[in-house]
Amino acid sequence: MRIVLVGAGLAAQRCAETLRANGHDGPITMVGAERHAPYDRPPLSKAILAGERPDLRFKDVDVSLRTGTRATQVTRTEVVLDTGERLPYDQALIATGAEPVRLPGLDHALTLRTLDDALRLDEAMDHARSIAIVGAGLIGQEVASAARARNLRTTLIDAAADPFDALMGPGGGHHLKTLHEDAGVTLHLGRRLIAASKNVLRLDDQTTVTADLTLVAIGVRPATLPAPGNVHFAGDVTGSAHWEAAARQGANAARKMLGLAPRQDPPAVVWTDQYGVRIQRVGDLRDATPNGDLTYHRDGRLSAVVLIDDPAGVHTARRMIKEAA
Amino acid sequence: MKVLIDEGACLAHGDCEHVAPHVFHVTDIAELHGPGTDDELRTAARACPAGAIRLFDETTGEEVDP
Repeated sequence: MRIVLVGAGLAAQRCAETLRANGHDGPITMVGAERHAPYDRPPLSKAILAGERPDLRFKDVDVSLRTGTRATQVTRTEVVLDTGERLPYDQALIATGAEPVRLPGLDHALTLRTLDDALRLDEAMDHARSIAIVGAGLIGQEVASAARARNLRTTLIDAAADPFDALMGPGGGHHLKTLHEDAGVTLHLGRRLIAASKNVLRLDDQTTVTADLTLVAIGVRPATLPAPGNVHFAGDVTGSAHWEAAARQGANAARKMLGLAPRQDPPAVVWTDQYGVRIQRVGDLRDATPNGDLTYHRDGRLSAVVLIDDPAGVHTARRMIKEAA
Repeated sequence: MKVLIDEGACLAHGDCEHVAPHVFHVTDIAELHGPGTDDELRTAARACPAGAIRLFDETTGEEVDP
């Protein structure tokens, strides 16, 4: 069986690992648009921006790797590359990830998605005294944390009034917001950008923000590739923008290709590291309402728990959610 | 202390191998590679972002917090 994985991020890597671990010994080709071999992204907004250079490469897995190459088309039998080559397949995975959404008028602004983006941002922060971050999602928050650790004057702007609540709910969101305030980040929440030049942003309340550097972190859009119904999809291209989802979807795509039953998902965990504090959410917040400060209920049952600097609490939280289900 | 890797929870983050390389080995899932001291097991269990390393008291068999 010939397998082609389009994409070389976490989902494709986990798919390849799971195929090999379950005895697939046929050819696997992995096609990645970036120049790098598959690597792990969470440290891009953490360790890399602290000036560290950890080895981010995933473990070697027996695949034929094509870096710096894009797929332009997937037919029912072939993946067509931008080099003109056609790779015939029996099973194919689309795991092309996502691309940062840019803002018109902010072409000079940086974004953070790839290792090259992170290295560029790290270098730029070396020569800057201030940074404006448009978008206070996970990436925007972690960059703000890194920027304050480097003593940059930091401004965080978001169109939502409570952007910190999205990832961790109101209890966790309040904690995150306090971390940023205590660290001296200037927050402009519920504010839209109405005009921008190289170093000046104007907001809809007529506030002016000046900064040496601007980062746009307002989210990503899936890097979709039209494909027939016989291919599999995994990772950020599906619209689920979390590490754990990409890992599970990649592994489950491999299991499907091999005709194995998918693994049952335990309650999900998402995490962020900011200002030296690890904040985790176990379970999911869909249709959930706060019940106490850091716990959430759905239909009267525990559905999510937020942990602040308590990584060992994941076990207990996971067990409690499973038992409540 | 006894250690158990919850295979349903493990996501092969690799943090356990990073903090205790002679105890854990991670491919698409974490596996026990050799014996570890209680301290090493606790450190690894705490480092696991997925909470997949579970620890049990050897004599009582009860699960203990890392």
